[in-house]
Amino acid sequence: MRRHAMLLLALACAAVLPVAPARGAVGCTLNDPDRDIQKLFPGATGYRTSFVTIAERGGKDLAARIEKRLGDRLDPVYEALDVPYAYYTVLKGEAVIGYVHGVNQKGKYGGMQMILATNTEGLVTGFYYQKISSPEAARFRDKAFTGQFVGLRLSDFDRFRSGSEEERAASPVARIKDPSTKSAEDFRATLRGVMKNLILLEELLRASGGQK
Amino acid sequence: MTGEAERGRGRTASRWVLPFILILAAAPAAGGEVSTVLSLEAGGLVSYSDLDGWSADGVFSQTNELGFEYFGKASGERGDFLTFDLQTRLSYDPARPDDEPWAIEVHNAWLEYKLGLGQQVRAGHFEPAFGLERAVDTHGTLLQTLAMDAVGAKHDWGVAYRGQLGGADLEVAAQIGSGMGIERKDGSFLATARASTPPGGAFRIGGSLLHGRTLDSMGMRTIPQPLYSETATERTMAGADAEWSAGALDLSLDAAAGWIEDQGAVGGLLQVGAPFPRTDALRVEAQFSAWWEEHVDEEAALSAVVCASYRLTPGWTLRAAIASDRSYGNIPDETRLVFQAYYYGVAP
Repeated sequence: MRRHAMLLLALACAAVLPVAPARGAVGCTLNDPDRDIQKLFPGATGYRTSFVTIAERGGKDLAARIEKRLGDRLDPVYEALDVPYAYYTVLKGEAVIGYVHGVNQKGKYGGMQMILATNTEGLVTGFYYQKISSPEAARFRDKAFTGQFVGLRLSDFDRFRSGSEEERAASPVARIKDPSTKSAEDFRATLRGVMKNLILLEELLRASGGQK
Repeated sequence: MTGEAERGRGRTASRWVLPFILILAAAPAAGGEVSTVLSLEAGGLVSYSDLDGWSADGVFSQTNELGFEYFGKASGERGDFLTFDLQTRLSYDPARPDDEPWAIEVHNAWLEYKLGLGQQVRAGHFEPAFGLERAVDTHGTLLQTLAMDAVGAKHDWGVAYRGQLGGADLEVAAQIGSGMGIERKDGSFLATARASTPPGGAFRIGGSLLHGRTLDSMGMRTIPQPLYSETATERTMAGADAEWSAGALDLSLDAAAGWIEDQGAVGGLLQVGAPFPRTDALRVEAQFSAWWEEHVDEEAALSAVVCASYRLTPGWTLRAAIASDRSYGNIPDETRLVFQAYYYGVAP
């Protein structure tokens, strides 16, 4: 009898679970931060980690601003406002020399984890996929492709997304070629993920003064 | 077990675990800037077995539970110097011994001090430096690794050093061999070492060594203390593990071989996972594992599990698994269906 009562309790528990209020998922953190930081910034001597959410830095108003700049809605499941984003402020001694930050981005075959390294001016100095599921993953991971993002900044993506036809054509983003033969969806997702990453860096860290 | 002995077990656990948890809770006071994430977790579990029918018993290291994880980093002018993690849950498992279905499980409870970039020392309750378990997070998942067979536990109390040697990540750990609870008797200990290529690429491989005298326990719990064997079991193992992202497929391998009480033991696990195209929410995984121990009447156990996961919301994941266990010994074959609703999300 007691066993049955407990079974009922467990079933009831399982039954009500899906209607519980949704909260945030865990954001994208570096798998091996010490080694990754050393690889992206060979002169680094340390780094400071901070966890920041859209909810705490501006909530729905900030989310609306991010969506407008991105030109796309944030996914309610994978880009919820209370997702904590990890920011690694890279140090040489006590001086800030750059940032490392990652985002999750929905791809054709599941989530991609995209890591950017930027200098203190917001210029991309490194980019790689920490995780990508795709039949053409090797083509996307190839440095011949990821290296094309080095030197870009958020304004290049802004011009590419919402500039005039001439501005779009002149943006260095337009020169990045899809490395795949039949995964254009993942290529578009990569452009979106990199742009989202740069917007979040601007809105969540740099706009608030960053970490000095 | 007598009531007095029962109280004694409770006191043993409380004497060591609670002060350590208080130290962890005070970690943010270490100074500098502190950044933390407090997450909540909950799990509901029911299963059906062709041997025992429906039950709410714990299975695949999961139970009906409510818990939290408090993770954080403290940093100074020259960067992070301290990382801490406390992950604990109140769980209900009718299959626990002593008519004590309720328990507190302490999973992660550790402090890690950074000696410099790429070098850390860790103290507390954490995964031994052995096998695939050190590389993947199976805390809330139905699919597990070989850790319970090869090591005898997923976590243990002790200290560890993590460093780098060229392109490899290295870790060595010295622990007390009691798993979830804190108990050291019959000279119990666990020494492990693991070297691996860094994570994050399409392929990662690791190799591990283990030697120790571990206590066998009944009931995965920290408070009250699990029921421990009177004598420790000597283990010497070598292990190899790998993760490979092959296109849209994710493959994991975990293998271990060695001696348990001077008798041969060997096992392996292969796991294949794939998302459904155009959705991040639905994922299917299959796992095949085998474990053989010479001293258990030369029994061999084979297990095949197919698990589907559906991410309902940012926090909630629903899982359903069918598991077929086949044994070439005295343990009867069994087929099980397991349903789990699991929540893990940032606290409001």
